[in-house]
Amino acid sequence: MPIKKSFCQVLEPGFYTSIQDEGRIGWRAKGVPLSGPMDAESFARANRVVGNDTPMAALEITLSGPTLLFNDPVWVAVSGAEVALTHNQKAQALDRPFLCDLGDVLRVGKMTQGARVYMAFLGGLQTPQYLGSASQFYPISPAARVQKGEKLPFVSSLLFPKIAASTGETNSQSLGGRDRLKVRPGIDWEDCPKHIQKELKNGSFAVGSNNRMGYRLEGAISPLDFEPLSGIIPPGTIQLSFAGSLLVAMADGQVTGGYLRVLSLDSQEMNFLAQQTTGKKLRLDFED
Amino acid sequence: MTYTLHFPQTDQCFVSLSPMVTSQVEILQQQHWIGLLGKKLKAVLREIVAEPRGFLLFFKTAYDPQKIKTAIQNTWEQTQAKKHFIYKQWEIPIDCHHSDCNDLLDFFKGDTDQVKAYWEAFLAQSLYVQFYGFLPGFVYLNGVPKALQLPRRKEPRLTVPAGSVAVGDRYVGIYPQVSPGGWQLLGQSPIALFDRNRSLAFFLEPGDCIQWVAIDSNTFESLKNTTNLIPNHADKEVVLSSS
Repeated sequence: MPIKKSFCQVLEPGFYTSIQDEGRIGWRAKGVPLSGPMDAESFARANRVVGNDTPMAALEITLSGPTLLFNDPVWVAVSGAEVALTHNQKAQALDRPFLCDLGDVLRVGKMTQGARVYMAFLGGLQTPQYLGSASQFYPISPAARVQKGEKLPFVSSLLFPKIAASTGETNSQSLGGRDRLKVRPGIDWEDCPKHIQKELKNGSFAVGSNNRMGYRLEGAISPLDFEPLSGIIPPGTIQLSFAGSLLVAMADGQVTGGYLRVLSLDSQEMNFLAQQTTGKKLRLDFED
Repeated sequence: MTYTLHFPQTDQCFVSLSPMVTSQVEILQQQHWIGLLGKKLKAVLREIVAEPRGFLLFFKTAYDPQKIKTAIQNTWEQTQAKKHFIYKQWEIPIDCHHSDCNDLLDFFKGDTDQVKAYWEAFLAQSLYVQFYGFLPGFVYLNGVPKALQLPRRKEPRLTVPAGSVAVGDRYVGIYPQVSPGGWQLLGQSPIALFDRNRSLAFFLEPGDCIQWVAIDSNTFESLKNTTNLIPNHADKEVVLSSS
């Protein structure tokens, strides 16, 4: 089968669309965030559905999506939040592989439930890697996100290798209508005063401002009366700010931070949080 | 020194150290320990990140805590046997009269004698790399004498220029990119701490020593326009005096 390098052109980039692979592993000791998908489960599913054996560079699309014009045939799949996806103005189901051909226009509309979808390409996007990863994060990569008019490279192919991979995949677990977030004690939990521990266990929170760096959870937590030292912040860490709100470090979160690391989320809970939008009410469930 | 283990997630282990790691030789010892652990756990480990209170191991998937404990204890015993450590000493050029940095004049309320005295003491002081954080390539430099430690600005700046050398309490930092920042600006370095196009994207390692070299604005401009620039450096040795 001949290999043909081709591309799709970004007619409209959408609200915030970036290229993400599994992340920039091995550079955190130099202050470089991990990056990678916010909802790793939906990212992996889009890749599986489109027939990639391992997760490859895909588009992470936030709140409202891009419009793409294809220059050659390639298999595509979209997974994650609920969204109107149109292929040449005809509705296209999520979690199914489909062929985008020369001259086709693919449009991802506004999300109706959830915040992020992933558009995977058979063979992955062929954009350049920086420090071993195609994930966009400025200034490690030259741009933070996909730009209008940009050409996104892929390897064109009409053949779909794995029909079986497309069946039986369900919608994202992360979208579920639950209102509890499962948490574990963070690195500094023991340094957290008892009355604040109690407030965290009983408090209710609302999703505040959020982006790829982090999610703010607004609540009524008493401020700390001491200033913690700067330390490592793995993604999923929940820090308690001086003002008493919770800061959840997400994919592009800084490697270090200066607040108390009171709690921690596992990857499944991060996937769930990545699909929540401003105003969502949450309570915390403590594991163990 | 003693350590305790925390497991914030099943694929993470934080090795908490007491007392904190703050001297240059302690940092080199910690780096040596991390190096041994990295080799021993290579098959299951993603990366290790250090900070003054310890270091965090990131595993590829959930990993057996008992195996972690054994690996940490064994490598700690090996580390304690090592007394001689090699580090690099770097010459970092700095322009103290750069127009972008006038916090000292503000801080000393226009008293140019005090500003001059601060600069002289600062340039004579060698510092060492504690750890990276905040931004890609941002190093926290330790070894700042009490007299040179300045409090952070009351109002952070929205934009600090790339290359700014600044002091914030106990640390000195060099901003690798334009960013907001609350530290007091002391000067400008033409050296990029991170450059994705340079053969060595980052050149400083924890435990490395840096010495300042005062430069004028002409030298600043010519170094700023030099590509693939790595500052002068030499290998040095330090010996751990007691265990």
